[in-house]
Amino acid sequence: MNAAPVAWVVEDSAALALQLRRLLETLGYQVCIAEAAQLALPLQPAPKLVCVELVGIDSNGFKLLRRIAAVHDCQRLLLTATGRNTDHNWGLRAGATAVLQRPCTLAQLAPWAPVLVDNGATK
Amino acid sequence: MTMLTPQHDSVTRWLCQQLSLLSQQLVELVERHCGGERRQAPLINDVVVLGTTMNQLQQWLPIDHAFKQPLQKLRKLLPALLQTQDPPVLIRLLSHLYSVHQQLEPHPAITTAGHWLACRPTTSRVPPRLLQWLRLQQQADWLSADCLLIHNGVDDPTNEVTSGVIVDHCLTLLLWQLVNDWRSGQLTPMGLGDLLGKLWAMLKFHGDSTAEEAFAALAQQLALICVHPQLVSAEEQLRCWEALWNLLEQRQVAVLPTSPCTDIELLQAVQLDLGRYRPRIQHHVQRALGGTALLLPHEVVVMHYKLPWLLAAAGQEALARLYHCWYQSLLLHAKYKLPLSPALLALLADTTATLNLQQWHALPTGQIMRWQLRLLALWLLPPANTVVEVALQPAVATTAMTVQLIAIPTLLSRSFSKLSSCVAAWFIADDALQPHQQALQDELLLLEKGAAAVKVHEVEIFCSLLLALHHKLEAAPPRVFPADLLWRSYQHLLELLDEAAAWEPPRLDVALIAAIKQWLQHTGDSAPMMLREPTPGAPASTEQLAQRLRAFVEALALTVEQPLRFDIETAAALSPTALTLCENALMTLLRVLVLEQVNASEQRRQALKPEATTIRVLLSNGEEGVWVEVNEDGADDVSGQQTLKRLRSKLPEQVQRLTCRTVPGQGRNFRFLVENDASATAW
Repeated sequence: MNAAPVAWVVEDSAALALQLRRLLETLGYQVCIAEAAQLALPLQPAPKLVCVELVGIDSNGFKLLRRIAAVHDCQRLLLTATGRNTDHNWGLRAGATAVLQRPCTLAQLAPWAPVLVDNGATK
Repeated sequence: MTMLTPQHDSVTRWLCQQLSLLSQQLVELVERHCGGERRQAPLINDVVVLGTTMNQLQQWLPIDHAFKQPLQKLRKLLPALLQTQDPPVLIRLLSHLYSVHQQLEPHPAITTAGHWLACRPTTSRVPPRLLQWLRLQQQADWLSADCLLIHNGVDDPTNEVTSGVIVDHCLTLLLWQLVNDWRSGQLTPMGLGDLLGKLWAMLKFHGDSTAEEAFAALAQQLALICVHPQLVSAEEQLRCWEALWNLLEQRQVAVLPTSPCTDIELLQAVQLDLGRYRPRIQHHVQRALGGTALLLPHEVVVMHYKLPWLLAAAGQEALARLYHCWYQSLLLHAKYKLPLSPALLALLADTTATLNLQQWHALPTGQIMRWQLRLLALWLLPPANTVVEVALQPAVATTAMTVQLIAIPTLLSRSFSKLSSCVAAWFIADDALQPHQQALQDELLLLEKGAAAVKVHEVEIFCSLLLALHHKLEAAPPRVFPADLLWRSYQHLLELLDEAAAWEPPRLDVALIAAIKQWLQHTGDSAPMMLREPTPGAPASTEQLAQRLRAFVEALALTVEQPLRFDIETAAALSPTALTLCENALMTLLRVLVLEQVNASEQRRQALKPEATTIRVLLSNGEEGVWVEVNEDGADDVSGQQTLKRLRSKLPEQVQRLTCRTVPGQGRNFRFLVENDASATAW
């Protein structure tokens, strides 16, 4: 039996990580959660999708994305609540596949469901 | 208030009835005119006809009749009412109209539904204090205590009805003011807080707790739209205004949807987060209150970024809206590096203390609204926006562009494609770098100016260093290309930008800066540099002239510790005499410019300009001789005639037609001619 694809959530708030975990599990991911400050690269198990929060305590989403992009060839989502264009533009330059606005909904995350990622629909 | 009673003879009574009726029609027409049917000729004609009729009728009244005086006022009032476009003036005039109407026979309470200004006070029952307020409400300091005073001042046994009508009237006026101020785009968070506070006080006075609760949610939503419009979609904004309108005008209560959270696992996670955040925030706030730390650390801002989403997850929508506003307020202070006022710190301490699931249910009704209004009242007024003129290609004026900056992230929303891509696809040798040199320098220049404008000096300093490195590479390519140093530098610049883009204070890599400075000082023919007299003898070629001038400026910059970039472009070969004259003239001018820049460095800092400046020299042959242009981007003021005269006296006599002008975004431009007999164009 094939194991479920892995999604990593890099988030230092337990509640926000829990909300995101539930959404990703609904989409069919096996979800791993890590706090940014304790993130060890390369990620094990290797991710198909990584969700990074832009603003974290002692962490910077842009920097994290650059580090992750240098190591993993996977889908990388940057989550932001600021509503600024900068997050979108700079996030994409920093290596994000897409920049999503909080609050995250299932509809927002649906394009990154494993089956669509496998089919290259999000490329 | 003195009531005016019409006399009792039948004609006068009939006249009074007619005038009262006409007055009523007039008020309704004026309301329609003010309420959106402006500039409709038939409506204005009707008002004029009514006014004329009333004037004719009043002539039949006894000379000492009490209606005479108000009708005279009405004659003066009507033209002003029809002409004014200014809402505050209109409100005042309407108040006067109601006052006049009140004096023309009492009329039963009127509620003509459908008009935006449908409800009016029943004229005989309006307490004088309220009338006074209605007239002066633009200047009134309106507090809930005033409502109580009004309430206490109403002696009429029907005061319950009266107060309701009064409240309707006040709410309408305030709503009108709110909408107009909002539309004008001039409404500050403080202004909004003031109006919302007045509206809230009126609803409290009215004693309708359901309406009060619904209003509190809508007012919070409005506050959010005001301070963080991106967070509320256009549809939600429209719904909010509609709900507010319906609530205040029609008394239709539509409570914003809330979803109490019953998810135990999620609530536990929220409680866990709050347990981590609360003590950390309290610690920093206490330090700031005690004067130990002026600015709150970045992590306080970060926690307030997360808190609204946590509170929303826990179903605490009202608190979530309050914390969205808190985040914006803290961010504003962080952006401008300004400390929170003691009052704001005290408010932060109060709100933080309630970040506990158990305490939320014990919060008194209206407490969150009170905090919200207080937060708006204490809102920071940001400094005026800075307009920075940035010329991407200084030689071509048409490419100059204006960038409006309030922060580095705004700047970063521009495309810095080269900066972003150069780390991934790096150049291992000078040949690989050359095609990208200009684009990289343009982006660095833009970033340097932008960073100076928004006082992110770490980015500015590092951009200046990188530009110096590029200039050195261009002017005198070293034997060993510093590929590693360049890669590390751009890597670090991206780190600084990532930090600035997330509102974090950028942290400079001191070791890397030392390495760049060392490379700058010890690379090339002139290293190590020190101030010295020009190399003896005359320059033999334009290349040699450029080299000697570059060394001269570098030594000058090093001596005065002024970051300075120098470019020189020579279009053609020059005679030995012209070369010498050009060198002498340029050295004199450059010395003056560099010393001027040292003196003006504080002014540049205050004008939010970069500390580093660029001087560009262009030599070109013309029919009359050699034209020399010197462009200096550090100053925007044209040198005065006296300065030019002094400068002229120091230049060789063959130098003619010295002028100075400013080019927008590019600073000062000096131009002079080294005359033909010296330039010997045969060369």
